[in-house]
Amino acid sequence: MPSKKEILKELEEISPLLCTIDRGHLFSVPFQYFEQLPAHILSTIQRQESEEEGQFKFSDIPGIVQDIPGDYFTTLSEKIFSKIKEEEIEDELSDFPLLVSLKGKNLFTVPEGYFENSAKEIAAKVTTNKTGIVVSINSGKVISMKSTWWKASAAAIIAGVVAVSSYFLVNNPSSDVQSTYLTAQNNYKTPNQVNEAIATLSDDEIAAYLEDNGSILDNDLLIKDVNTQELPAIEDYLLDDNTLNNYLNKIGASGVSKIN
Amino acid sequence: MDQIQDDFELLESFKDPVTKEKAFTGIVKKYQEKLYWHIRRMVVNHADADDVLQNVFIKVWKGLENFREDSQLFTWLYRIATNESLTFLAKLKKVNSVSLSDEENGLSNQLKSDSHFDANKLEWKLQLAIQSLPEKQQLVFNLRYYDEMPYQEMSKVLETSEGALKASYHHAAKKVEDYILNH
Repeated sequence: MPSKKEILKELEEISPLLCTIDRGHLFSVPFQYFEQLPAHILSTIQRQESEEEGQFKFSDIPGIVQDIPGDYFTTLSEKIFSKIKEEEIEDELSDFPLLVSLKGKNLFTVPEGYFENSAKEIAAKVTTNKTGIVVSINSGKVISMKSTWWKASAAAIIAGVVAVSSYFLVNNPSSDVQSTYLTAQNNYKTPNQVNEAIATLSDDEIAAYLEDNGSILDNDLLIKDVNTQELPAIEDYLLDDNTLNNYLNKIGASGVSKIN
Repeated sequence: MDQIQDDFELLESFKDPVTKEKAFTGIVKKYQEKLYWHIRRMVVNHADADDVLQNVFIKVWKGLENFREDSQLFTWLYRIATNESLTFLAKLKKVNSVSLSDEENGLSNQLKSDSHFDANKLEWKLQLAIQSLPEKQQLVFNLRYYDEMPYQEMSKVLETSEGALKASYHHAAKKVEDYILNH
């Protein structure tokens, strides 16, 4: 071990100037810094260790290999399935090296910020559509008409009811309900009149009617009760749009034809 | 030899859970000042030196159980302190995007901003001259000039051959002298 004298002698040979400079500390240190440092470091270590003890680590389990990430086991099955799927896709394409080489290459571009903004735009649209078209029924009762199928269904039901009932009325003139249907036939001659009539019905009334009379629209019943020999041929429907109207006029249900 | 014996006793006490904290406190007390000044000369600022020194001792606490007693505790501690200082300076360099070998680097400015700084005093000129050296030469110069560390020991701390260290010290001392004479 070299003595201080040897080190000083070495320095004198290199630079006599440096030997003349005081090697004492120029920098100041806070009061009692070194006295308090050991206790401060120990308390820091204890705090860190207590924080680490509070966290569950897989490496703490006896027999478990250390340095396993905390979420290793929770995400393992997901990773394996994802890898299996990837391999399956690769196997499928193994006979098509060209497709493999093109896999993942996207030639298409999207406007800048498209994906960032699309969620917001969709959410805004959904919020707007939720309101839909509001139709007032009776005095103050409001229902939402979200799509045209509802209107079409209602119109079809009315048309069907009028057409079939007309047929029954023609064939059963003595029925008690004849006058009612005839009144209805006279009252609802235009689409507006039908729509206004629909608007006067409540949801419950429509639902109750369909439950009670839904079978009137059954094909079996229609086939059974309608004289098919009097119906226009299928080709006639295809060739002429007015065939049904003509038929309804013929059987005396001319008011219905104006619904179409 | 006394120091080695003392270190051996401290290390033995550290292995015993009952005396572990006491032994560690003994190690901190024994080496804190030497390591502090070694770090402070590199990082200049006290707050930074304090942070680095605490990190050094925290690493010592965590790694002392695996410390191989075939090397000296003193050398091992210096090595950790040197690595921690260099790591800190590298981070500082990244943050400030300045060259630490530049005369007008951040650490030189910190020296000049010290309340006791006196540009006419040789001691302060010496500090500025040391800061103008490349990091490795700074280390070699400080360990030899201030800590009077044997080259053999230094070669273990810096993992460099004794011959290279001697040459490095010679170059560093010459550069420091030139700086002082020209400023």
